[in-house]
Amino acid sequence: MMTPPGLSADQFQEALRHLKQIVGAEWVFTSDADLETYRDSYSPNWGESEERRASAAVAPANVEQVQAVVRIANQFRLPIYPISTGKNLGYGGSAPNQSGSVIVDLKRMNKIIEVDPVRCFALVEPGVSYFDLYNHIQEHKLKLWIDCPEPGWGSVLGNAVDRGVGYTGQAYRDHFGAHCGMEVVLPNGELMRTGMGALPGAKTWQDYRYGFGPYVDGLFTQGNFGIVTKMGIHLMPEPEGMVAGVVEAQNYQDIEPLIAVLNRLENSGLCDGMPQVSSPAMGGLGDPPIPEITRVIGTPGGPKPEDLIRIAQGKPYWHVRVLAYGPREVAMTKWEHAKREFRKALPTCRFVEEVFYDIPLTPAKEEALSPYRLELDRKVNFGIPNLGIFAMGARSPAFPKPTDGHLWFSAVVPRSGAGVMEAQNIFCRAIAEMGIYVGFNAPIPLGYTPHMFLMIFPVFISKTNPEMNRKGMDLLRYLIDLGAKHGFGEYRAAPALQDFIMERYSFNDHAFRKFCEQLKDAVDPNGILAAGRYGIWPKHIRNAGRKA
Amino acid sequence: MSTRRHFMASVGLSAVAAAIPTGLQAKAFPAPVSAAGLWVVDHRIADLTELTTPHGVPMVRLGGDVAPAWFAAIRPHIETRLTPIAGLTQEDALFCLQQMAADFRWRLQRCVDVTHGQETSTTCISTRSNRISWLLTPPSLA
Repeated sequence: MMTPPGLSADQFQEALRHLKQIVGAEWVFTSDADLETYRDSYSPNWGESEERRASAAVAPANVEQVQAVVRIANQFRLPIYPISTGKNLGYGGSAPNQSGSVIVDLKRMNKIIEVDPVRCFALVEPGVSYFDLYNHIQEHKLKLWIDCPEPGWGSVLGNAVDRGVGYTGQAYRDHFGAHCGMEVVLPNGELMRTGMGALPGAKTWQDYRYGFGPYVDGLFTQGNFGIVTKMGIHLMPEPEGMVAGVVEAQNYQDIEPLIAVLNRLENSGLCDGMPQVSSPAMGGLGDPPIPEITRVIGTPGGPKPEDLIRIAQGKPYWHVRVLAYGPREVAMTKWEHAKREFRKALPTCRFVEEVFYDIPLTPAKEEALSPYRLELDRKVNFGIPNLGIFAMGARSPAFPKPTDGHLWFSAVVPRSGAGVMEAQNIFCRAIAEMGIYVGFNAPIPLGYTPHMFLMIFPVFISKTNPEMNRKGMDLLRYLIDLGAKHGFGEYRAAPALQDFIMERYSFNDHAFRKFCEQLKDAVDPNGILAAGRYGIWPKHIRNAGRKA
Repeated sequence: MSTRRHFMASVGLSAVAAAIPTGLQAKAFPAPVSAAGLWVVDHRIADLTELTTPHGVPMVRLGGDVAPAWFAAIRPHIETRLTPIAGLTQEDALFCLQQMAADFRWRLQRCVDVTHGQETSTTCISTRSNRISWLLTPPSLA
């Protein structure tokens, strides 16, 4: 049996005895079979000594039990690591940053406390999944949408505090941006509410997120300053319809006017759905890899015009799928306006597709949506959670074998054509040099929020091929390093990469990390909570943690 | 002498059996599978249009997205029954089901890579196959 760092076997047993008193013996897990489920299924160190694993898990049923668990952790200096549903695969799953930590599994706290169809919010506990919230809304026939990632089995709260993203209206796709009010168990076991929730008996906890005084909610995202036990989330009113239209541009450089127009439309509220950029010329996720495309796009100094023409084989370089919501006449007016704007900026562009969906969708229309082709309208664009993405993920027949999962590379890229081309050039050069297929021939910009692109792609891992994993990690570190040298950083990462990335967020001698560490030392002096999460280690193991 | 194909036919799963080479059926469907209280079959593997379920063995079909089958039949079975669930699916579907069943402490007791005829680790499902037979069991039987 693994023992948490810093505790003797006897001390650990004593701590477990206390935890059992709090939650009941059946909710403290120590068997190999139970702990197996808290491993990171996508760990690049599967089965090796470096794999980050839990020593035990405890599943409290309510906030009082969470507080009691935290107090016991302080008493025994027991490292704990909270998870909501633990299914953020590709970004770490359920496994802790610090091996030997005890998982605080919040799945039992799965109450949908309130859904208000007038003020358009939900108040949920950590164990509420997107499926749960969706089903609740459907059962109660509420005219509201959720905004969910792919896949839909994750926690509404957990995804927001991991700063995850979704696929519907622009005010809802940034899940932390759509949150409103938190209840947090602090590292000393004290209970705090943020925003208007700090006012006892507040009637506007989920209406105004800032409250009075400093705004601290961000500390509880991608961090280790507290365990969030309740969270409000704003919900999109169900629209009457959605139009999807596709703008096609032939040349690689056409991305510049395309993005300029798209940004203007989005930031004016005229294209309020998730835009999807794709490239018929460069291929999509799951298409057979063509290394020559990656090599050409990554040509030092930029791809040569004749090479771009050659690899395109007559196919257009860009499709931009534009989505707009509203009653038919409103949505179609937005789309007609968008067409005029695109044509004005790029007279050679074509409009190759136009579909209007009446909402709610009929079962047949819903069934016809693609679960996984990124360049098509998908269930998630209508706020419908599903698991179809796994049919095209690492386990899909479309990808090379053997693969058991992936780590995401997730760089933030400027919302401009020039920024997209520069990032593609840098990242494709690195991928071509390393000779590793990453799921795309060239990474595609994803417009989750109106002010930036994410360039996200998978680097595949295997549970039976450590050499493949080492190469994948080498590629990821290379991409991160190269990106940082060009001013591009990641928005989110798996624990195996968090220290490496945080090391590069180093402006003014790591002033940001030092500030976070000062806060950590102040609010969690025993360093019990999620040590090392996103590169923030408690004082007593700071150097050792970073080195590990 | 009864063969696995006979067994499969007797419980109405002949279409599933037909999707598996005869020589591998004994490995793919050993004795514990016959105790299953629910069958899960992947319509991407077998033509299931003629499939019937005599002897009261319920069956659920799924494809690329396991969520509808999970909520309609599999999770209700897990929440209320103590009998195992057997399946023949692609690996992506099994991966999702294994992850979700684990929340109820159900375990993958065995899985067989039917394409290559190998019993494979339950913690490390082979990704070389798109045809896997498997058995999920409740904690009381694990």
